[in-house]
Amino acid sequence: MLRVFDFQHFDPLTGDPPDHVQDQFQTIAQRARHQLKGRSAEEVERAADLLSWLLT
Amino acid sequence: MPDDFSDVGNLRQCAERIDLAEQPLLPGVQWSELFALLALTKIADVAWWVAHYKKRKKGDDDWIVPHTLGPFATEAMDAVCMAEQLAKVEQLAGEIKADVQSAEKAKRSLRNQNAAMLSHQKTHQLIRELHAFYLAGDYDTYAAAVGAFLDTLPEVRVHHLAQTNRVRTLREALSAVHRGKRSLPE
Repeated sequence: MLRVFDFQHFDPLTGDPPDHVQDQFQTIAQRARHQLKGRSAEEVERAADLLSWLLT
Repeated sequence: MPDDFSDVGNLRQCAERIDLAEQPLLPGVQWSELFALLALTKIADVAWWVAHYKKRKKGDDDWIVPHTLGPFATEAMDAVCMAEQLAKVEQLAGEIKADVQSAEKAKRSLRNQNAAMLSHQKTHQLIRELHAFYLAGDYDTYAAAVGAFLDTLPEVRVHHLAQTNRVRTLREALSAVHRGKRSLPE
Protein backbone atom coordinates (compact mmCIF):
# COMPACT_ATOMS: atom_id res chain seq x y z
CA MET A 1 0.00 0.00 0.00
CA LEU A 2 1.37 3.40 -0.99
CA ARG A 3 2.49 5.48 1.95
CA VAL A 4 1.26 9.07 1.86
CA PHE A 5 3.05 11.80 3.76
CA ASP A 6 0.75 14.10 5.65
CA PHE A 7 1.87 17.70 5.46
CA GLN A 8 -1.44 19.03 6.81
CA HIS A 9 0.15 20.23 10.05
CA PHE A 10 3.60 21.11 8.74
CA ASP A 11 4.50 22.61 5.36
CA PRO A 12 7.88 21.13 4.41
CA LEU A 13 9.13 24.38 2.84
CA THR A 14 7.64 27.06 5.07
CA GLY A 15 6.06 25.52 8.17
CA ASP A 16 7.19 25.88 11.76
CA PRO A 17 7.65 22.79 13.92
CA PRO A 18 5.11 22.42 16.77
CA ASP A 19 5.62 24.76 19.74
CA HIS A 20 6.29 21.89 22.15
CA VAL A 21 9.38 20.77 20.27
CA GLN A 22 10.31 23.77 18.18
CA ASP A 23 13.80 24.06 19.66
CA GLN A 24 14.64 20.48 18.81
CA PHE A 25 13.32 20.51 15.26
CA GLN A 26 13.81 24.05 13.99
CA THR A 27 17.50 23.57 13.23
CA ILE A 28 16.87 20.25 11.51
CA ALA A 29 14.17 21.85 9.38
CA GLN A 30 16.49 24.70 8.38
CA ARG A 31 19.31 22.33 7.43
CA ALA A 32 16.95 20.12 5.44
CA ARG A 33 15.44 23.10 3.62
CA HIS A 34 18.93 24.28 2.72
CA GLN A 35 19.34 21.04 0.74
CA LEU A 36 16.05 21.71 -1.04
CA LYS A 37 16.96 25.30 -1.89
CA GLY A 38 15.49 26.30 -5.24
CA ARG A 39 12.80 23.62 -5.24
CA SER A 40 9.21 24.74 -5.66
CA ALA A 41 6.29 23.44 -3.62
CA GLU A 42 5.18 21.41 -6.62
CA GLU A 43 8.60 19.83 -7.00
CA VAL A 44 8.69 18.98 -3.30
CA GLU A 45 5.27 17.39 -3.67
CA ARG A 46 6.56 15.24 -6.54
CA ALA A 47 9.68 14.40 -4.52
CA ALA A 48 7.38 13.29 -1.69
CA ASP A 49 5.53 11.02 -4.13
CA LEU A 50 8.86 9.55 -5.19
CA LEU A 51 9.92 9.12 -1.57
CA SER A 52 6.61 7.48 -0.82
CA TRP A 53 7.10 5.04 -3.69
CA LEU A 54 10.66 4.25 -2.60
CA LEU A 55 9.73 3.57 1.01
CA THR A 56 6.61 1.54 0.32
CA MET B 1 24.00 5.02 12.00
CA PRO B 2 20.35 4.18 11.32
CA ASP B 3 19.33 0.54 11.55
CA ASP B 4 17.99 -1.24 8.50
CA PHE B 5 14.38 -0.97 9.65
CA SER B 6 14.27 2.80 9.88
CA ASP B 7 13.15 4.93 6.96
CA VAL B 8 16.66 6.37 6.75
CA GLY B 9 18.11 2.87 6.56
CA ASN B 10 15.56 1.84 3.93
CA LEU B 11 16.21 4.93 1.86
CA ARG B 12 19.95 4.36 2.12
CA GLN B 13 19.46 0.85 0.72
CA CYS B 14 17.40 2.34 -2.12
CA ALA B 15 20.20 4.80 -2.83
CA GLU B 16 22.64 1.91 -3.18
CA ARG B 17 20.44 0.03 -5.64
CA ILE B 18 18.39 2.54 -7.62
CA ASP B 19 19.48 5.02 -10.27
CA LEU B 20 17.40 8.17 -9.85
CA ALA B 21 18.13 9.19 -13.43
CA GLU B 22 15.68 6.51 -14.57
CA GLN B 23 12.66 7.80 -12.65
CA PRO B 24 10.25 10.21 -14.40
CA LEU B 25 8.56 11.77 -11.34
CA LEU B 26 11.12 14.50 -10.74
CA PRO B 27 13.96 14.55 -13.28
CA GLY B 28 17.25 15.73 -11.84
CA VAL B 29 16.36 15.06 -8.22
CA GLN B 30 19.30 14.08 -6.04
CA TRP B 31 19.44 11.57 -3.20
CA SER B 32 20.54 14.35 -0.87
CA GLU B 33 17.23 16.11 -1.55
CA LEU B 34 15.23 12.98 -0.81
CA PHE B 35 17.02 12.50 2.51
CA ALA B 36 16.40 16.16 3.34
CA LEU B 37 12.73 15.72 2.53
CA LEU B 38 12.65 12.58 4.65
CA ALA B 39 13.88 14.67 7.59
CA LEU B 40 11.03 17.09 6.97
CA THR B 41 8.50 14.25 6.82
CA LYS B 42 9.66 13.25 10.30
CA ILE B 43 8.86 16.75 11.51
CA ALA B 44 5.51 16.49 9.74
CA ASP B 45 4.92 13.23 11.66
CA VAL B 46 5.73 15.08 14.87
CA ALA B 47 3.34 17.89 13.95
CA TRP B 48 0.61 15.36 13.25
CA TRP B 49 1.30 13.55 16.52
CA VAL B 50 1.28 16.77 18.55
CA ALA B 51 -1.93 18.01 16.88
CA HIS B 52 -3.74 14.79 17.79
CA TYR B 53 -2.21 14.62 21.24
CA LYS B 54 -3.37 18.13 22.04
CA LYS B 55 -6.94 17.22 21.18
CA ARG B 56 -6.95 14.40 23.69
CA LYS B 57 -4.63 15.60 26.43
CA LYS B 58 -5.86 15.76 30.00
CA GLY B 59 -3.97 17.06 33.00
CA ASP B 60 -0.43 18.31 33.34
CA ASP B 61 1.47 15.78 31.29
CA ASP B 62 3.18 17.94 28.68
CA TRP B 63 6.45 16.14 29.39
CA ILE B 64 5.10 13.16 27.44
CA VAL B 65 5.36 14.96 24.12
CA PRO B 66 9.11 15.61 23.92
CA HIS B 67 9.89 12.20 25.41
CA THR B 68 7.64 10.33 23.02
CA LEU B 69 8.94 12.22 20.02
CA GLY B 70 12.59 11.39 20.64
CA PRO B 71 12.76 8.69 17.95
CA PHE B 72 11.39 11.13 15.38
CA ALA B 73 14.11 13.62 16.31
CA THR B 74 16.79 10.95 16.03
CA GLU B 75 15.64 9.84 12.63
CA ALA B 76 15.17 13.39 11.37
CA MET B 77 18.74 14.19 12.46
CA ASP B 78 20.06 11.01 10.81
CA ALA B 79 18.26 11.93 7.59
CA VAL B 80 19.52 15.50 7.46
CA CYS B 81 23.10 14.41 8.23
CA MET B 82 22.89 11.86 5.42
CA ALA B 83 21.51 14.56 3.11
CA GLU B 84 24.43 16.87 3.88
CA GLN B 85 27.03 14.14 3.38
CA LEU B 86 25.46 13.10 0.08
CA ALA B 87 25.25 16.70 -1.09
CA LYS B 88 29.03 16.99 -0.70
CA VAL B 89 29.57 13.78 -2.66
CA GLU B 90 27.15 14.89 -5.37
CA GLN B 91 28.86 18.26 -5.66
CA LEU B 92 32.25 16.58 -5.98
CA ALA B 93 30.88 14.15 -8.58
CA GLY B 94 29.46 17.11 -10.52
CA GLU B 95 32.81 18.89 -10.46
CA ILE B 96 34.65 15.76 -11.62
CA LYS B 97 32.12 15.29 -14.43
CA ALA B 98 32.62 18.92 -15.51
CA ASP B 99 36.41 18.45 -15.43
CA VAL B 100 36.16 15.30 -17.54
CA GLN B 101 33.92 17.05 -20.07
CA SER B 102 36.31 19.99 -20.20
CA ALA B 103 39.29 17.67 -20.72
CA GLU B 104 37.45 15.79 -23.49
CA LYS B 105 36.61 19.09 -25.20
CA ALA B 106 40.27 20.18 -25.02
CA LYS B 107 41.32 16.81 -26.40
CA ARG B 108 38.88 17.12 -29.33
CA SER B 109 40.10 20.64 -30.01
CA LEU B 110 43.74 19.52 -30.01
CA ARG B 111 42.89 16.61 -32.30
CA ASN B 112 41.14 18.98 -34.71
CA GLN B 113 44.11 21.35 -34.64
CA ASN B 114 46.49 18.48 -35.38
CA ALA B 115 44.27 17.29 -38.22
CA ALA B 116 44.15 20.80 -39.67
CA MET B 117 47.93 21.16 -39.39
CA LEU B 118 48.45 17.80 -41.10
CA SER B 119 46.08 18.82 -43.87
CA HIS B 120 47.99 22.08 -44.36
CA GLN B 121 51.30 20.23 -44.51
CA LYS B 122 49.93 17.91 -47.20
CA THR B 123 48.66 20.90 -49.20
CA HIS B 124 52.00 22.70 -48.89
CA GLN B 125 53.80 19.61 -50.16
CA LEU B 126 51.40 19.46 -53.13
CA ILE B 127 52.02 23.14 -53.95
CA ARG B 128 55.78 22.62 -53.91
CA GLU B 129 55.46 19.62 -56.22
CA LEU B 130 52.97 21.44 -58.45
CA HIS B 131 55.30 24.40 -58.83
CA ALA B 132 58.17 22.13 -59.89
CA PHE B 133 55.79 20.27 -62.22
CA TYR B 134 54.67 23.54 -63.81
CA LEU B 135 58.22 24.79 -64.36
CA ALA B 136 59.28 21.49 -65.87
CA GLY B 137 56.45 21.46 -68.41
CA ASP B 138 54.90 23.76 -70.99
CA TYR B 139 51.35 24.68 -70.09
CA ASP B 140 49.15 27.42 -71.53
CA THR B 141 47.35 28.04 -68.31
CA TYR B 142 47.75 27.33 -64.62
CA ALA B 143 44.53 25.35 -64.73
CA ALA B 144 45.93 23.08 -67.44
CA ALA B 145 49.04 22.47 -65.34
CA VAL B 146 46.92 21.67 -62.30
CA GLY B 147 44.76 19.28 -64.32
CA ALA B 148 47.79 17.45 -65.68
CA PHE B 149 49.41 17.41 -62.25
CA LEU B 150 46.34 15.93 -60.60
CA ASP B 151 46.21 13.20 -63.26
CA THR B 152 49.62 12.00 -62.06
CA LEU B 153 48.55 11.71 -58.41
CA PRO B 154 46.66 8.95 -56.66
CA GLU B 155 43.44 10.07 -54.95
CA VAL B 156 44.93 9.42 -51.54
CA ARG B 157 47.35 12.32 -52.02
CA VAL B 158 44.55 14.85 -52.57
CA HIS B 159 41.58 13.44 -50.68
CA HIS B 160 42.06 16.05 -47.91
CA LEU B 161 41.07 18.69 -50.47
CA ALA B 162 37.38 18.86 -51.31
CA GLN B 163 36.88 17.60 -54.85
CA THR B 164 34.90 20.67 -55.88
CA ASN B 165 37.60 23.04 -54.64
CA ARG B 166 40.89 21.26 -55.22
CA VAL B 167 41.53 22.57 -58.76
CA ARG B 168 40.76 26.14 -57.74
CA THR B 169 42.84 25.88 -54.53
CA LEU B 170 45.89 24.54 -56.33
CA ARG B 171 45.51 26.88 -59.32
CA GLU B 172 45.34 29.97 -57.09
CA ALA B 173 48.31 28.76 -55.03
CA LEU B 174 50.36 28.07 -58.18
CA SER B 175 49.44 31.45 -59.61
CA ALA B 176 50.43 33.25 -56.41
CA VAL B 177 53.75 31.43 -56.11
CA HIS B 178 54.64 31.81 -59.78
CA ARG B 179 53.88 35.54 -59.81
CA GLY B 180 55.85 36.07 -56.64
CA LYS B 181 52.83 37.05 -54.57
CA ARG B 182 53.45 34.14 -52.28
CA SER B 183 56.63 32.31 -51.32
CA LEU B 184 56.86 28.58 -51.69
CA PRO B 185 55.55 26.97 -48.52
CA GLU B 186 58.16 25.20 -46.43
